[in-house]
Amino acid sequence: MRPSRRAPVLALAALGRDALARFTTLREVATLLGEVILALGRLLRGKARLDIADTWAVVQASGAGALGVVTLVNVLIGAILAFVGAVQLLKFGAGMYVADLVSISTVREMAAVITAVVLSGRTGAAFAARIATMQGNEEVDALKTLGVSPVEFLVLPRVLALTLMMPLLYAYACAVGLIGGWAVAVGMLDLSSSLYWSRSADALAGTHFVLGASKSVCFGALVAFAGCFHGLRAGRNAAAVGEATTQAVVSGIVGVIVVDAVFALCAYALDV
Amino acid sequence: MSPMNASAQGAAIDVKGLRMAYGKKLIQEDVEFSVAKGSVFIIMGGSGCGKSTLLKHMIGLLPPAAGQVLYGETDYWAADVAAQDAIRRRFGVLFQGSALFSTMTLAENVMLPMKLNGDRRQSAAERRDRAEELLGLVGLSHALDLLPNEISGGMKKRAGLARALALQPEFLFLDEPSAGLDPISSRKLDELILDLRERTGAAVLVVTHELASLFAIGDDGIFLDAVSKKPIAHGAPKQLLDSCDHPFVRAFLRREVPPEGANDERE
Repeated sequence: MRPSRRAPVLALAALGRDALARFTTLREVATLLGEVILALGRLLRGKARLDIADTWAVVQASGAGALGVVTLVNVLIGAILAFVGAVQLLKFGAGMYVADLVSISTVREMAAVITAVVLSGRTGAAFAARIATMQGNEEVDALKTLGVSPVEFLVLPRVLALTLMMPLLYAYACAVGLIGGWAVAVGMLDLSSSLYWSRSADALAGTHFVLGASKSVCFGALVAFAGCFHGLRAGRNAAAVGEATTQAVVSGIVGVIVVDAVFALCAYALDV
Repeated sequence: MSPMNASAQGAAIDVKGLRMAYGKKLIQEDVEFSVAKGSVFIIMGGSGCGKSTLLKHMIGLLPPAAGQVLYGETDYWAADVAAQDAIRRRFGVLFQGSALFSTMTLAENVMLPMKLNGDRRQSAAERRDRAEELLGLVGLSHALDLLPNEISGGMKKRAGLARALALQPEFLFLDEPSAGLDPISSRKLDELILDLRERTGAAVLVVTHELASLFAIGDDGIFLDAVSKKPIAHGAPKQLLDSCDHPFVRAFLRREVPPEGANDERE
């Protein structure tokens, strides 16, 4: 069959439509971001109508409620880092440097990234599902008719909660990640506990913590924002909740990796 | 009561030259009607004709493509944000699915509008008393501390109505209040709406295609047509049943199959 003469035109039209759709999404992201910033400004001036009980519930769910999964994943990541590192380091008799490897990579990189990825699948998805369900049940419309901004009432508490909780979870993730590495170093490589901890202390610098903590703040805001964004733009049918949740997780994880890459470039450029 | 009569009496709501569209897709145009104080106005029409969209234009959720929605002398969509907020505080809205906040008890749902928009001097105990009074009015005094997922659909509608009444609204908007209810619950809800109209003197605007309900409560109404995308009949539902010339409206209100040609493009 001969290709249609219109095929290139149709392909170009499809490309144009796709580009316009992406532009629309970008504009929606920028709009919501602006609204969140304005709502934060109103909150700081004491004019925002924040539901304190709801905010506290979100803080508990995204903070203390996530400790179990954050512990499990970060202990295992610390242990895996130690194990994989040890296999290579032992080849040239540098097994004791496994402490340096685990501590620097955990504090500088893995604790923040892995915790953000876990929270994207857990908390970001929960935010999207909750808000999308509210959208389907007309609860968001009900808020608007009460003169309440959904951004103030639903988005701001979640973004604030996760932005505040992430650095705490990051600090906790660093601790349990180092413990995971310690278990492998002591149990399998016959390193002494004191050597592991002293090497870790020597290897770590304040800048590693500052870098990791700064990332965790950005990741927290990003994951919460992605969840709320996809929840708010969800359709009004049952399938929309699933779609919003999936999109929130994908955007959250991709966003975390992209922001992490930007941090890596900046750290390299600044020689941190 | 015809729209002309409503205007003559001093309409609470005036809709003028409203054009409703989603992007380039026209939903309805030339929509004009008035709702008098203390009357129940019905928005009628088949599925997909734009009844709920019209309601969204009226309660400030969706800006129209053109036209005015006047509350008193103020055009809602031409007003500034503060004036829109002030008008919205005079609304009570019952959504089709009740839209109760699922994490709050029924009492908390009813207290929320008071907390957000009510008298700031009102204490939490006073708000709770008022919520108990309103939930008692709709026959839910036994369910104050239940969550929405612990009650039936009919109870949700009544709780939604109690929440809509929390701030003693001048304008009460009810979207399909009796949809999905059994005939007895539906009848009770109709009586409650009439009782509220008498007690509060609010202008009540109801979106429905439940025949029993619209005949029972409607003082006036408008019939939207999905084909011509214009209103095709104005007047009280009972009056339209007796005297409307339009074959589709007559068939709709008599629950009959429309005559040949009257609904060729409708389904």
